[in-house]
Amino acid sequence: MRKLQGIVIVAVLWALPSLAAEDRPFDPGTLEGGLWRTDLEAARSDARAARKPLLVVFR
Amino acid sequence: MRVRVVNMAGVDLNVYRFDYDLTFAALLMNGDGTIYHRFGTRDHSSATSRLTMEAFVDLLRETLEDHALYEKAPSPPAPLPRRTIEGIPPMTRKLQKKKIDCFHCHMVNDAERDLEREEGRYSREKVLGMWPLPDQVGFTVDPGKPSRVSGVVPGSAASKAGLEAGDRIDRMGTDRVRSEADLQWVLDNAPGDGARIPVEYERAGAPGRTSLILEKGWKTAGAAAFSWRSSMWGLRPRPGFGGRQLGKEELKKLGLEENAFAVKVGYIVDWGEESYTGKNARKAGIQNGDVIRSVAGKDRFASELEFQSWFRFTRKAGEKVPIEVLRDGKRVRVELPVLD
Repeated sequence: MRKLQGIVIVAVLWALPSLAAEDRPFDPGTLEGGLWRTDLEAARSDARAARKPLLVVFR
Repeated sequence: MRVRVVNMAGVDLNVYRFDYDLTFAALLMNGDGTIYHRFGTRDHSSATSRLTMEAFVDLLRETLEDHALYEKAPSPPAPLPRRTIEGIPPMTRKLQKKKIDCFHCHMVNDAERDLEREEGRYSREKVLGMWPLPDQVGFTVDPGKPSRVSGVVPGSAASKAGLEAGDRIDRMGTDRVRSEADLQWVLDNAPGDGARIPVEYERAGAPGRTSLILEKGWKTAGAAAFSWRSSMWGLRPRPGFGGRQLGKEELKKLGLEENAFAVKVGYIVDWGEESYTGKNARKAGIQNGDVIRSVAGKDRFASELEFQSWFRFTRKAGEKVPIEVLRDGKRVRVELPVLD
């Protein structure tokens, strides 16, 4: 389980400019907030408009 | 851009396709719907043994390269009608009776199995063939470098194709593969009654091409391999009871060998729509506290999960299954009618 959490944390540090972020700061304990979008289709639409790849994590 | 999904409500299953039984899965994609890569693989031994941070970081970097290349000549997939878990008919009907706030990923598989049953399409072999691991065709990959072959089983399809440990798989079928989940995607989409899958690889700096020739039935893994899946619990028929494998000291107290199959019944199903299976088990004579020793003559299971999976994949409605239990130090034999 720690390995999975580590992987997700690394994903957060992925070298892409952040186009939008949650208002609340990222909580490494719960993996909530911070650099993760939560609206899948809005993120996808923005990624397409910005011509950036999208990382979708289901967890 | 990063997005995390914790609820499958409203997720378009025709776009976001992955092994829905996983508790962690990642898709790397273009906003036009093109999936570059998938990440997230497990087997029945462990949820994490096939995942490494090294592989995930490499995949993220490599995806940036693939994205840059794709953007030069994008070819978006043809749009498909939107399909959500709420729209799968058995789930739609469930939602008319009760509200579900959180849809777990595995519930997609549960709903699809229910639909297959309704439509007479349910097939044990097809279900057992979900998301095959490369092991199924005779090779393993390095969890740290998952496009790198780490071993080849002699006589297997991979062996006959000439693959060797150390080869780096670049393409399988028409797909660029960089993760074990990418390999599984290709294998999942290949027919179970026989297939020929082209493979491009690199060996010692030189490119190579071969084909995996897969015989009928290649896809079907055993019940043990399926046992880790959450959607296993939704399959039928079910024994109607379950519990836990006894530990070493408990086995010793009962005079049983160290690796003996001995599951102490901790519950007999008495909840929800499946309570009839528990009633059936009680009527047959199963009691809480019984230690299950053999089922239909089989007394070797790696775990209680394997027993549960095996029962669902091998027993048929209408048969009577002899079960031997230990109760108060005595061997007792019961016969469990199998219900659908």
